[in-house]
Amino acid sequence: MSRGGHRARWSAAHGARLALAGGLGLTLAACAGSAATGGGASPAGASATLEIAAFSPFTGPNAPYGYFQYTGCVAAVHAINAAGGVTGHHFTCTIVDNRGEPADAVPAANNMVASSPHLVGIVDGDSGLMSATVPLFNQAHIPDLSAGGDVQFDKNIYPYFWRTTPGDDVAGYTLAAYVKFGTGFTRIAAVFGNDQAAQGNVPGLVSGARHLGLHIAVSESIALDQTTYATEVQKILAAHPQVIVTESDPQTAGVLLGGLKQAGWTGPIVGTSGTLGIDYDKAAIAAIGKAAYEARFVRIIQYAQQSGLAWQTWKSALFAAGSLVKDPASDETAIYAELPYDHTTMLALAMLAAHSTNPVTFNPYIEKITQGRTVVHTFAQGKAALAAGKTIDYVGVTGQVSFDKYHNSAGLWAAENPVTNLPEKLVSARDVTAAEGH
Amino acid sequence: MTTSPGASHPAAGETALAGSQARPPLLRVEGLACHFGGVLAVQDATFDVRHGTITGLIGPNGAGKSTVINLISGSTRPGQGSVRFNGDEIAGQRPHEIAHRGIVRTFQQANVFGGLTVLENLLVGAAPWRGERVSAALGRKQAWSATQSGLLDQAWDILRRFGLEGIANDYARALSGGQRRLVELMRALMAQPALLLLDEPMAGVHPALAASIADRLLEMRDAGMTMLMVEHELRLVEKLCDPVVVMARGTVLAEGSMAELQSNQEVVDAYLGGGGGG
Amino acid sequence: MTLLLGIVIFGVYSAALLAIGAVGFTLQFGVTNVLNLAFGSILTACIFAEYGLTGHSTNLWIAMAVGAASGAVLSLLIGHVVVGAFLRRGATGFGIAMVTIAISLMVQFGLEAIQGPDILSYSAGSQATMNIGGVVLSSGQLTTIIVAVLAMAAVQVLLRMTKFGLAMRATAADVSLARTCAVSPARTRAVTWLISGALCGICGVLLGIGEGSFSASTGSDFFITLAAAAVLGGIGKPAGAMIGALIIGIVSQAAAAVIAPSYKTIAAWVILIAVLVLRPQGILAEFAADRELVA
Ligand SMILES: Nc1ncnc2c1ncn2[C@@H]1O[C@H](COP(=O)(O)OP(=O)(O)OP(=O)(O)O)[C@@H](O)[C@H]1O
Ligand SMILES: [Mg+2]
Repeated sequence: MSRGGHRARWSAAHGARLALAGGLGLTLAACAGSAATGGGASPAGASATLEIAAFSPFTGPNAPYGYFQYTGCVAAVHAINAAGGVTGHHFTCTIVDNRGEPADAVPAANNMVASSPHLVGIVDGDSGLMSATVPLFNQAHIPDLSAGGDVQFDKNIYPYFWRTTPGDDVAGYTLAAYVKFGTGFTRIAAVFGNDQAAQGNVPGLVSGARHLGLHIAVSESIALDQTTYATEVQKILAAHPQVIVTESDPQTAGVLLGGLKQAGWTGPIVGTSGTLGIDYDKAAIAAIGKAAYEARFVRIIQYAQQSGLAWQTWKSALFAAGSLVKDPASDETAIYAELPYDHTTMLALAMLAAHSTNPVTFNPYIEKITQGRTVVHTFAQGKAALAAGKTIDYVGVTGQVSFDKYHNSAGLWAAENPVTNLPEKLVSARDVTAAEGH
Repeated sequence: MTTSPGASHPAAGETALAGSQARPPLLRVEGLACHFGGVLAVQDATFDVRHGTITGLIGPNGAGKSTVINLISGSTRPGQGSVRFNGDEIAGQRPHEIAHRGIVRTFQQANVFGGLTVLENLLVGAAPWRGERVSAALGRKQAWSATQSGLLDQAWDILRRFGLEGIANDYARALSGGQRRLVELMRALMAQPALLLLDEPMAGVHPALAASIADRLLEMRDAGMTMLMVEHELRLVEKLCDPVVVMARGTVLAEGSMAELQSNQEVVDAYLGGGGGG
Repeated sequence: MTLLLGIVIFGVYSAALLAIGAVGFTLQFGVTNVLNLAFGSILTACIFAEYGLTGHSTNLWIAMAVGAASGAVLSLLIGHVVVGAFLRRGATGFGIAMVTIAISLMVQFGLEAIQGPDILSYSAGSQATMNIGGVVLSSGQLTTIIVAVLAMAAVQVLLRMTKFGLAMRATAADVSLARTCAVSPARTRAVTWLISGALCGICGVLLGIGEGSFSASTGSDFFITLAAAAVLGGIGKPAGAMIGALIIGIVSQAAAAVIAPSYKTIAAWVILIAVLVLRPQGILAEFAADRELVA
């Protein structure tokens, strides 16, 4: 399922959330494609309600990600509407189910564009579908704020496409950067499952290691779901690595980490965002024990704030959105819900700054609101600052945004404790750039 | 039609028997019929097998002899008629139930477990199978231990009697046709059957070996075993069997000693005369 | 040297796990002639049963006993009652295989429906380990090897030295001839399903505890390799399944060590196909075409 390659990004937390999707996916499926649900207080008799589409899978194995997109959008819309909206307009979030398949996504995108006169923006997280759908959005002049990881978009040429998370290949560089600047070790064992998602990290890691003067002592691609990895473990340890960098599915990880423990490995283990999720945690804890997991394992993942004004506002909007959000307590630290929250907020702020709800007019302002002088953390703050005639720099719950000429912003990374999910060390954009050899 | 006077009147049949013999027959076949599609293989076959006899069953090819053996042993289900064994109706029972009662058979085409050794073939034949209930199969010593229950001794005894200890551990699939016949016979004997059904046990066997098999059969009869034997070689029938049942075209033509049959013109015409036709 | 020793030792461990299941699978196929494609799901169900019933006991022997018992019951239920009902209605080999696939999917997705797609984990009690020439073996792995050896010996004793085992082999070889030897196929079959299920349960529990975690699809994934071991050795032949498991276990470990880990599965299948090209019936079996389905 999640090993199926092009959904590299989905594989990250999807296991953890599938339980949610079990019930939810079905409910959403019934209304997928057309249902519009008001976010927060709906004004009576105001001008047209503007639509933001959560264009994502809401059915199928990746349905949890659609739910994340929708959750983030709904929370943002709640906060925006509560602060009076944009020039008298209120907002609503629409579910557009693309089923996670290109064959379904293109007709869904066409249908959405054709049938939604008040559509002003899209939030998506669609790794694997972007080359099919982004040109369509661009043609329709609808801004698309994306959390998808397709690497072709590292050098994006579409003006209406914006991305605040890095391409999937960047994750490999962040691993090298963390080993270099976070641990000081130099001998790396790269141990990745032989699925496409896990293997996607390897080129970046290898190249990053070269740029940073690190040594890949051994690189093993592991056949998934075997009953023992003892021979592989022996081979890995024979190369005398100082740190193991890894990604695999939970069951493979359980057997692999158990084998490492059994063979006496007590060094640090660095996981990718693909090791995120409750199943991975369970398997790892079963294999090496909770104390060792917490002490010796870190996960390099895009940094999500868990304090400060931006986060407090996000959290209260999430809880205030009511029944539209199924599990606010578990979503409050979910990066894949936080990203569309920031994306939706950015869309609204760009409209304010442009004094227009016309996408053609406000699209360039999506970048401008991250470049101003006054740092704002919420929609309300931004609205007040803009009203006071200031230029703003929106630093939302997912942190500073800084678009490059390809409309990509790599974001901030952190090594987080796998049990508490709290960051232990940050991996700065500068560290990642060094790993990339720039 | 009154083919056999006692058939529809058990009481009359028993009276008739009481006159000739103190004991009822071990096996009583009455009005047995069986057809395959349009072919009436057996129709209205009626005869007895009495205790302690080697009853012969002869007749031309296609007369229905093997089918009768199949019907008695349960390998084929009869369309009509009754088979009583020790007074119990067994027609229509399943083969293992009939075997369990002590009726054991051999086949016209010698039939052995190729993947088992000769000794193992014999042990499979050992009877009666006590492992009948699942619990018993798992619980009983006898079910578990072929060696402790004396079966192994019995098997070696039989092997020795047939002079075949030498091939005890050979796989049965490697045996010659004659050896297979012997293994089949020995396997049947392991069951210590009350009634042994033999379908041409000497066919395809070297004459010297056939003679020794004949001697074994006579020994067994003298030890009290009852047999029903299909055989084409009339000299052997004459030597071994009394009485002899003659079948032709699915029905019983006559029954009696070989001498009586040789003077029966109908029998001579149908079979003994060498015409072989019918 | 350590590498070579590692290949052998962990090859044997992999083989041990495979063999326990493969022997159960092949024994049942040999005697009943039913291709039980639900075997993998029964295996999963046994892990769930053990996990649920004992509250994931850390005592391996208790766990195995519970696994064996649940496997035996499930197997008898599925094989004897359900499949038996279809056989009595005259279903053919292919139809029966489809029925077992249906059962398999119902069990797997039933478990998933109840449990959800999450994986479940045994907590790692810190296991004792022993060092053999630089190769570290855990007590759980050692136990698996010992259990496999005991189980293999027990199956061989059963088949070669007991009357009931002879009845099973006779039924496997020729059902109608076995019937004329007073062997009741139904009873032989029932016990065979029981034994096969018990081995399945033991295998499942050792797999679940050995891997540390499991999900509703654990057994079906493992079943493919397990069936390969059975086919490699000659389907229907317990001794063949043992040989097949050993070959697959050692070849895959050797491939992981000598070539690269991602080749281990490929290596195992290449061997399987190569052997089947040379001996289509598998290593030990003869062809057994046209065999009767045992009702
Ligand atoms: N399974 C069967 N299907 C169809 N016809 C059969 C079958 N078995 C026997 N027959 C037919 O029934 C008749 C009796 O056959 P049976 O084998 O009983 O004869 P037989 O007396 O044993 O002959 P032989 O001396 O050649 O062995 C024959 O016409 C035979 O072709
Ligand atoms: Mg005949």
